[in-house]
Amino acid sequence: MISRIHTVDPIIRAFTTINDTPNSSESSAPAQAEVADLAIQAGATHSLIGIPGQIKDNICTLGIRTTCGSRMLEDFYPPYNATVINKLLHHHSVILGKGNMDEFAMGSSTENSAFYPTRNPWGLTKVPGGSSGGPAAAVAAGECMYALGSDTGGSIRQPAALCGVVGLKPTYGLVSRYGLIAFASSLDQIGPITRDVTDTAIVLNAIAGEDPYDSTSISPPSTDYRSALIPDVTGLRVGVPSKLIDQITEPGVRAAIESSIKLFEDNGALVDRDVKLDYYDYALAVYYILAPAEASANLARYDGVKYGLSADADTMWQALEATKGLGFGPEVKRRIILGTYALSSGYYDAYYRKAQQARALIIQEFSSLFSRYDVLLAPVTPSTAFELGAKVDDPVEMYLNDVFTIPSNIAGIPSISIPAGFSNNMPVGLQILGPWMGESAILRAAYFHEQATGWSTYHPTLSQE
Amino acid sequence: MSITKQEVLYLASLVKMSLSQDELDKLGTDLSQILKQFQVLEQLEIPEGAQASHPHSNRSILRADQSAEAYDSGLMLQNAPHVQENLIRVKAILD
Repeated sequence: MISRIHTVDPIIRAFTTINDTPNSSESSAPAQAEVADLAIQAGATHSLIGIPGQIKDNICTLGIRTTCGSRMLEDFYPPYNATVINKLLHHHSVILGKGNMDEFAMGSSTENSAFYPTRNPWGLTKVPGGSSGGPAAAVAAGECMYALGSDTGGSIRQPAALCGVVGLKPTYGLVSRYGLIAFASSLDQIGPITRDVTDTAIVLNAIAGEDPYDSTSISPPSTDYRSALIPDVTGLRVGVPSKLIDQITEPGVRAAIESSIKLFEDNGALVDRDVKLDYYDYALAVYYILAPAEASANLARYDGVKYGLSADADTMWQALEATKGLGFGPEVKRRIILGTYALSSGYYDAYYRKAQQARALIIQEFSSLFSRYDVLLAPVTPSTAFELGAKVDDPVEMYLNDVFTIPSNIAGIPSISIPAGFSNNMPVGLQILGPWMGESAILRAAYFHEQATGWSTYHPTLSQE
Repeated sequence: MSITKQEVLYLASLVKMSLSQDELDKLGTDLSQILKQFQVLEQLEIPEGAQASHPHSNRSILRADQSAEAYDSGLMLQNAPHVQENLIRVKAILD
């Protein structure tokens, strides 16, 4: 796998750090693999033992550089592992390296990485999506068996859709955020990116669970998520918000989503194509107020004193200003200023408070919907992957990529993106949303779709192969 | 709704973040465009007595008040840009 990364990654650029340093440190992938070998010889049998994964570079890994895609943390070596990393290592999974990402997870194309953009393995001139573009591209290009991403407004599902892989944003709190570098704490969630739905269930089994180090984490139902993998949707109550289907801009994407919906209809699911989402129209504005507001507070910690980049200047205040000026890229600065504006005196009521009230209405609406439906079907993105550079200078256009994924983060509910075919030779994703803690319902629907269509068995052929 | 360069400069001063002239020019334009997208919220009527929200209900998460193992100071200082005699060195905070 390491050799494949060295062959493929100079083209895809899905990694910020390849964890193969030959100095045999305990945290290097070869050392972890040796430990896994010994565990296998001793009779260990867990599904993740020896399985190599890539970790998005905003998840802290002891002894492995963690940059968050930022110059600010370019040389940062965390003094501890995130809880999800300890859980993966407990099962002797192997950490191959860190996944490229938009700086501080702010972006939808991975072009905001301070280092380099990642390329989409299905079309090298296209974006892989973001902000977990590195993890999604690495899984699609066969550079790892699975990856962990983080999803604040769609950052797992959107790149998974654009790269033709499976990406799950779990229920808020189901997976510990301890060691996830904070962007917007009420929205952030870690989740798996994999080649198929079974692998997603396996990784979710390993990482889910309450954690004393994350006060928002919750206990999962005592379930093996693999037990939800039933290729049958007979009687499943499926809702389709027609408004979302009408907002798809690419005809091939719409055709793929329509075909997926029909598949559920033809196989015994009880499909209602006329679900109303009254508060959906407000979700994008709510998100782009709340997330920057939380980010403006979370990113105040980068003062150049305890860790991270430190600019030199005559006085403490000048050093602080210069550190942030040098360390943060344009999108991060944009969101810090935007969030500070939304929280500032005179604008707080009109923006932040109103957005929080709207959030409550969105949560109530989803709660009401899921008393009538087991899952909702929706697109993940309005179109397939766009060209590198096409939207990088237009933040509003870039933000609109998240229009279908943001509502799940606002409501804290789980959603998955699964491969649903192709449009213009680029992958299309189908989004399945479930109720709070309803991972089993969406995994069942996802597994049925995957088994019925076989879309997860399609992989890109890179020109060198 | 638009935002002026002076307002951007003021906000940057609040968060102690320097901006180049190019960044300042572009931020004013970008933020005004973004704020236009927020106007949709003005049309939203909030029911009387509506609360702000969080996806979780509140519950006690307090742990027992016991000391826990601390990280090794050397490990914690390894990322500090300026260290002197096992302490983080900072600039004077008073003139």
